[in-house]
Amino acid sequence: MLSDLRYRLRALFRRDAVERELDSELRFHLDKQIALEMASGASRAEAERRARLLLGGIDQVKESDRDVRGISPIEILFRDLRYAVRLLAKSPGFTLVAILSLTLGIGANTAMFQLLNAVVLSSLPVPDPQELVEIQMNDPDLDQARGSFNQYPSLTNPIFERIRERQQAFSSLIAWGNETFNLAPAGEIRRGRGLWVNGGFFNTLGVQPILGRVFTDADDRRGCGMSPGAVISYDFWQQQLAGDPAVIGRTLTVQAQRVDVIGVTPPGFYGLENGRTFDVALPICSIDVTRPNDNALTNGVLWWLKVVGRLKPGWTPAAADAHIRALSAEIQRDTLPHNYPAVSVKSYLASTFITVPASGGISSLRDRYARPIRLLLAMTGLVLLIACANLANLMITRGVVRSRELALRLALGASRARLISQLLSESLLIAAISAVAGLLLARVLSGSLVSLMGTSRNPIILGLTIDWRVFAFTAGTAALTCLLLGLAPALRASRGAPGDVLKAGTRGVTRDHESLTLRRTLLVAQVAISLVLVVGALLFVRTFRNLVNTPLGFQQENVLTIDAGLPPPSPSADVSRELKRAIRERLAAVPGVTGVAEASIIPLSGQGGNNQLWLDGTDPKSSHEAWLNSVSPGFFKTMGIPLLAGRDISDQDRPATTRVAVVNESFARIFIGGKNPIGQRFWIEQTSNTPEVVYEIVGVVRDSKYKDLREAPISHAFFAMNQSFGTPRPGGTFLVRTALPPEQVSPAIGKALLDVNPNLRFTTRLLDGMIRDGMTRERVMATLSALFGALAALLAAVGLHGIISYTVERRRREIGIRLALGASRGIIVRSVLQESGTWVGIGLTIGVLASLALTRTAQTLLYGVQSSDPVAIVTALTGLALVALLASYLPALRAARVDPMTTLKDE
Amino acid sequence: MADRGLDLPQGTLDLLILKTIAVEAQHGWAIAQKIQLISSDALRVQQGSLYPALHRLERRGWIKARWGASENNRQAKFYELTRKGREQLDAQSETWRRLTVAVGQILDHS
Repeated sequence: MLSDLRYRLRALFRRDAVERELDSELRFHLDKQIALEMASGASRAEAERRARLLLGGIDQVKESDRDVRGISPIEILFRDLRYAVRLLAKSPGFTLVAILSLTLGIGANTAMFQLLNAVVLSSLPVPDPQELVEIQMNDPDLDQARGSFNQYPSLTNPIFERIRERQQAFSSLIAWGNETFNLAPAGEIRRGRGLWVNGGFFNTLGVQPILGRVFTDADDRRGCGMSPGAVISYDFWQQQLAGDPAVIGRTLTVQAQRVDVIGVTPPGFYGLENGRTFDVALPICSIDVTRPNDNALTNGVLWWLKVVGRLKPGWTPAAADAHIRALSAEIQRDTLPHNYPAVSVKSYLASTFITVPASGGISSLRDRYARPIRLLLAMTGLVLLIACANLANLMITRGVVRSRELALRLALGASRARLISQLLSESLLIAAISAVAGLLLARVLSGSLVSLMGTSRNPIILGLTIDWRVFAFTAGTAALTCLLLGLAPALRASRGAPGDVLKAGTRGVTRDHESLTLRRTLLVAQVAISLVLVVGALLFVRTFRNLVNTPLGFQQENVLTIDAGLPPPSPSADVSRELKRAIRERLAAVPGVTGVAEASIIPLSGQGGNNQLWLDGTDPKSSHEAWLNSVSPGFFKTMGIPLLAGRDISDQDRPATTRVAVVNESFARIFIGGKNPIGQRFWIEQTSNTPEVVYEIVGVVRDSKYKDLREAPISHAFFAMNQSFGTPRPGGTFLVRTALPPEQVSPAIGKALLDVNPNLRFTTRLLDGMIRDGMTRERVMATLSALFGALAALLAAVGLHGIISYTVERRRREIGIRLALGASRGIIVRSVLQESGTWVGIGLTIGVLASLALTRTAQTLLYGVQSSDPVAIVTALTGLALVALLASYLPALRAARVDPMTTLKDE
Repeated sequence: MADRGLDLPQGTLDLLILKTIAVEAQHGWAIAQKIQLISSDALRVQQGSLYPALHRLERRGWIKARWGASENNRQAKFYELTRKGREQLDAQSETWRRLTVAVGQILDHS
């Protein structure tokens, strides 16, 4: 079998070499024979004659030898392809259009699939990723969990340590947390992506350093300080440290602490979270140095670690899950924090741990983008279908032109299978070339897609490889394209009795009719598909517009947010309060600044905190949820949130005075039911670091967005920053409203901050820029779907134009006669438009039904618009109808200009 | 040509080629000569069908070819048996013998 293949392949690809060999082999034979004949006395000429006679003619031998070598299927294919190349070269216009549109189509599809592959399908680039499972708290239990969450879902360090102690199912456990590190030694913050990892992190994952060493279990010890050093990523080493070969032992500044580099991880290792990477990894024990007040290692209400285990041999994920669930009660009993809110202790003790597969990595990117990417892939698929339909149309036209040639060959005995395979080889060639070009294009496209999805502050880092899945996808797409393109026209062209075609003369009337039906079907499908795409595009564009136009309840323009603070060790509470006050005062004095305030939560930054509240004198069980913020005086003015009644927070609200709150309209409606809220008092449930206390409402403000653009109005209570519990930190988040463009003011702001205290670390950001970044997903969906929708409409128009032109051409004679008989040009135009209108109408009807059925899958991605939005459907219908009208009007006009005399003379 | 030797029955040429090169590698012309010689000129190989037969066997993987120097130092293509070819030779020789015996028995039966 193998020798056969090798022989045939050699015969195929080394054709010339094989022929040359045969030549010299036969030459040798003849020479020997001639020598023999001459030895027995024949003359040279006679000997040559006899030798040739005996061999039976070199050409005959060669010919029968070729038969032995065989016309293999490969060679037939090869011949067909050469035939196809000749055909395509004859019509370079068609070839160019076909290859270009398919390259774009296949390229876009491959790029989308690459993204899907990287985000959803592929495994982590570590050994045996299928052995990795993540340990989480059961979702409903996590909803009840109290404390502060650095990421979600996550566990506390005491829980991690307890699980590690008790579990039997895993050979080792890893834990990590994310934090944005400040890598600048002083002044303006230089952001670095930080990773807190336990000692076994790299070893468990099987990540070998390319330089130096990584952490070990020995680095998991309390009070380690910064002594274990830092492990940096390859990209950070290359980009920030210029690939310094002597990097090991170099000192970095991380969170104002000096730390030595001990190792560099290999390229392509980005950590366990899809779309994220890290610059600097520190062992989790070092966090006590950078965040001394948090006690992150012993804190039972600080949720900041993700935990993943590697299964022991013989343990299935299901068994490990059962094991971890069974351990839950014991772990929770052992880790119950002493300061846990009394009302929540029961649910803490009752919560359960579960395992989820982690072979693909942990991915918030996947949660956010899996659906959009699938949808976009479906869209590009549909665009490719429309492009295929267009090309199939062109192929049919070519088939009609060639029908006589094909009929002749059929009549001469060519088998239908041969003709079909020959016709298919043409589309195979186009598809193959486009696939290769598409694959190259996809590399560029997928890269730009990823950068589109990220923001300048949170770029998305994905290992976009072209693996077997991508290859298989592209090959599959190309094969499908080839079939779509070629099969229908090929089957059609080879059908029918050859005699009929030959008799029918140059026009091939019978088959012409048949081809028209096929073309109309294609047209209907194209129109229907493009309607679906345009409707989808409109839905996403409307979603994005709705988001952009959502009333925020505050003025987002010309506001800078500033994070500023002193590195540890922290000064006393009084010094911290004074620092904050000084910062506000100094910032307010900067020319161009019209308002300054401090807030614990920046609206729409993604952060937030809530608690249960109830009115004084009512049952705590009747409590409602409210979202909280602590602000300084001037917050509402700076943000542009109108004060409706009462007063703002003031500097006179101090820890010793009555605790005051400003609430929003929704709060007043939900808690007080429309009565005057000023002077009302409410209680707030105890938390791990705040007691149960009572507040008095002193003001009411208009509703504003808190954590999410899409949220419905929520109850919102603002407390006085000065009355916050716990030790104030030496710094905070400040909001600055400027009269000038903020970019012009920000240098002066930086200088002002350093004037207050030269040790301040700070970073600034535009509020509206931050809010825009929060709409990235919707912007990507709107942009791309609009692109695909427009492309679909354009392609459909081209297709429609093509087929109407063709119909007009076919009816040329009829039109000529009608004109000669006195029909007006208007009637002709109308009749052409009527015909196209019928088919377009059918397509649009099917399209509406299809979009109603299909767009429902996108509902969760929409905002402020229903998937069955009549505006989108009517707009799409009108738009496509207009495009269709235009696309058929031009050929109709041409039809009306037919000169009856020339047409009739032609016949 | 019948007067110059027997024509080969269908399919026997392959067997003869295999046998001829069983001992050592030979080039095409030598194979033809040897068959003729050993059969005492009784068999005449149609040289025209020799080469397609050789290439057919090569394709089946029963023999393999390599270029080497001939007696007078010219480059010639030598054919030799592969392991598969040797198995074929054994099997086919056996079949042939049984066939000739059987046919002989029938012809001798009076």
